[in-house]
Amino acid sequence: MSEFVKQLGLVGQAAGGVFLPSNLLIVAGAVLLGLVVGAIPGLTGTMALALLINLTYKLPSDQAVAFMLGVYVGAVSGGLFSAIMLNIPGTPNAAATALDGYPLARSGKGGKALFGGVFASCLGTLLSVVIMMVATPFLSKIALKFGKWEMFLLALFGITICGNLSVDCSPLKGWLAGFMGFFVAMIGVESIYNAARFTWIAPLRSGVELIPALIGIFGIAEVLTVLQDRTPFQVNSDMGTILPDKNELKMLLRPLLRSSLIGCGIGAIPGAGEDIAAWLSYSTGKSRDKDRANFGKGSFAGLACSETANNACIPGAMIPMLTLAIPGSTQAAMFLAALNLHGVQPGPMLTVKAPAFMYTVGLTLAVAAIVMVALALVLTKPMVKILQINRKVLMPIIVSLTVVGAYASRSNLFDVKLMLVFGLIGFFLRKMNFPLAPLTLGLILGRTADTNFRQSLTMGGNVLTRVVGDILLVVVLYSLISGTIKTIKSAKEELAAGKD
Amino acid sequence: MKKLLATVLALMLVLGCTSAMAAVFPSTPTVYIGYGAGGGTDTAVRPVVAAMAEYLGETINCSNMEGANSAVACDYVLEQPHDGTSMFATGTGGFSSYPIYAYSTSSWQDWISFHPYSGPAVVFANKDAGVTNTQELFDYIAAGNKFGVGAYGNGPHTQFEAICAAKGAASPEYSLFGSCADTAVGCIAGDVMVGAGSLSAVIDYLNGDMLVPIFVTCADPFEFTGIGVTAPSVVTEVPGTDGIPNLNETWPIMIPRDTPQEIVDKLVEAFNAAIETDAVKEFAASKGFNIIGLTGEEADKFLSYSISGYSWTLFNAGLGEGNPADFGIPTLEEYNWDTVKTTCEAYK
Repeated sequence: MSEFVKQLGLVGQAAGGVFLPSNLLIVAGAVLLGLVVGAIPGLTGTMALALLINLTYKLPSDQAVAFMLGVYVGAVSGGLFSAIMLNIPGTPNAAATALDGYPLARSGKGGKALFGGVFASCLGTLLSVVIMMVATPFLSKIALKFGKWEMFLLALFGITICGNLSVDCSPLKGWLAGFMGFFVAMIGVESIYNAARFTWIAPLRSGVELIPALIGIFGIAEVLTVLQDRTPFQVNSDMGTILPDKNELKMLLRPLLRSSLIGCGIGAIPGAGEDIAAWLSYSTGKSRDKDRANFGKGSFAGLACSETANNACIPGAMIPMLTLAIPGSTQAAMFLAALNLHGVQPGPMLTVKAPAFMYTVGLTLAVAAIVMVALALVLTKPMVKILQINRKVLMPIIVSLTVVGAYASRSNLFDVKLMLVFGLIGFFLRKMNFPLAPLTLGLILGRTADTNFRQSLTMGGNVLTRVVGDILLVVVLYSLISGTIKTIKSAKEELAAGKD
Repeated sequence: MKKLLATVLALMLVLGCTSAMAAVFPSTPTVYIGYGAGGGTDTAVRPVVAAMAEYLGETINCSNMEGANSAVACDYVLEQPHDGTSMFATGTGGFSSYPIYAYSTSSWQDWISFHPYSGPAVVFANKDAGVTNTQELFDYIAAGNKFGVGAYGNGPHTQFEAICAAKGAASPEYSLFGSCADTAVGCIAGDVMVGAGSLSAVIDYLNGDMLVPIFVTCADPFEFTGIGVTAPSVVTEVPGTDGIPNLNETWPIMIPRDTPQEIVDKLVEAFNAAIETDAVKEFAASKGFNIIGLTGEEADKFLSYSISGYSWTLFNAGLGEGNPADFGIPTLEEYNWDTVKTTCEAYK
């Protein structure tokens, strides 16, 4: 009881700082900034934090924390704007959002999709904050159980769901696209023995950067597709309300608990991150949700699966960062660097030196999530007007934005060329009815799977004695077997349809 | 009228001063950090850059440009105008491995470097390993048990290789964890029972009583205040390791050597002021860094010595593709600054 009272006192102490008007204003401004950055393809939260971190140097640490967390939350959600409006995810973690967001926008529900996405993001963050505040000691112990072998299995599991992400095509195409992404991720100097792999030209030594590749696959491919259409899609009708109706709200809320748990759990695993959370949540929803038949065709539940999980990942990523000083994602790593700059040292000593800090982070994240919904109410209507612009006019603007985004990730002109190459690959894959989602997933997970597998081999020992690993192994095998059966079934159906 | 004239003159003076300042130091320069956002180098460099920016009254951007052990950023900065607008930040471990791994042809001769602090490595053990001192550590390794490090060629790995050589012990079989912090976490979780990492990356785990410190690679013992334990220096633990502290990693900020002298002078001034600030001192103390503030010839000497130490240790361990001898890099035994410095135009 006394411990509970003590913790309650710490929450009160943290709330005293978080709810200062100056801090609330900073959070609001930072969330807006994050939303804008996230919405521009190629500009990510990590990039925004990296650029802005030194600007916070002169701020008191509580204001700097408010600013950085606001940008973080805003940038993770901001990606959904371009994903829904343009079918070009603003950030890698919004790639899964485009699968249902864009079809919703095409069917005239762009406003509802935008607001629904932000609303799901907010709920995901809030629920995950609660999990973070209550279960941090437990989850940080679980995070410690995730060694290299477990990370490899998690990545492998991600790759096995590629077949499940195929919409309107054979799962085999999903597998092929996934392994294509996996192969591309192998390019470059690998990080264990520094051996060069498939580096036909010198700039490939540092590998294929994820962001330019994603911008190409989604952005340039979309531009080429639009330019090819004689009458590209354009919404002329009035958008009506942006608030989802009762049915749509139900669909948005249904995956809340499941996706928040996935998001928070994945966030707590060091090195996983928001994009993996979004994909895993989406794939789980596609297997489990009542509306699964409509996933990929414009389902609010599908949209919520992705958006709830990627934002729920933020408080999850704070768990190992605050307790072990191990960031759960690259954006959390940037936040860790900012804390160091301000003399706050996360890690095992944090609960001794600054016991209220975890609650400060949790409450700030919650405030940022709520502010984001308020901002979405204001921003959604003007954003929806993008759909009313003739796409042939819009696309040249998008091209210049994609070029800026690809270049900005490393200030490297080679990345722009890479983006164009991937744009062509994406365009032809789309024409051949290959799903792009598995390609993205392969790209994201390829290097994680490869490096962790080889690192785990250097550990020696019997990996089968690891309980978490064994559980994951069963899940991977199940996914692999069920996916194979599904693929064979689908191939037989296609064959039968061909005979008919 | 007089007032107007005075105002105009004052304005001209201010503008004149501003343009003179601008001529001395470019506006909004960028430091290209050769590793990812939030990583060890990024974290080490940012406080110094922020303090330098404050001193100069200029915004200095930090941009992460990772790839090929920081060589991507290195080559990029060398390709930019050498006017102070583009600077490069790296870790000496990564920079010193370029010749061995053929990442870049750039070496210390191309750069003027500023080293704010050096960071020793620490060798540690899992609390249940039954390893509490140096002898037990080497016995444990000799029994065929694995030793955890972040990556081949990083500071702790290279230093431990050199320590094994000095001890006359065989190199251990390594388990690789990707980073120093991951190595510590792997050791806590029991993936390996002994390992080494940069002190700055693992200090909290040691202060938090999650690992047992065996020794540190700085010249003096290091006290872990959180647990009230002082780890001995490798110099007293393993005879013949007097040179090891000179291989401690630093995280220099660098500019191309032919940058105009007035800009270099201004940067040296800002750097010296930065390392005297409380913020940098507190940060260094919290991470177990020793503020060394190396600039000019001292910095060149340190960097060239590191390159010799790292590249030959890696070569002798059978890692990498290149032979340091092909690059005219002397072994540590042959190293002589008076000879080495003649390979740089600036010292001829």
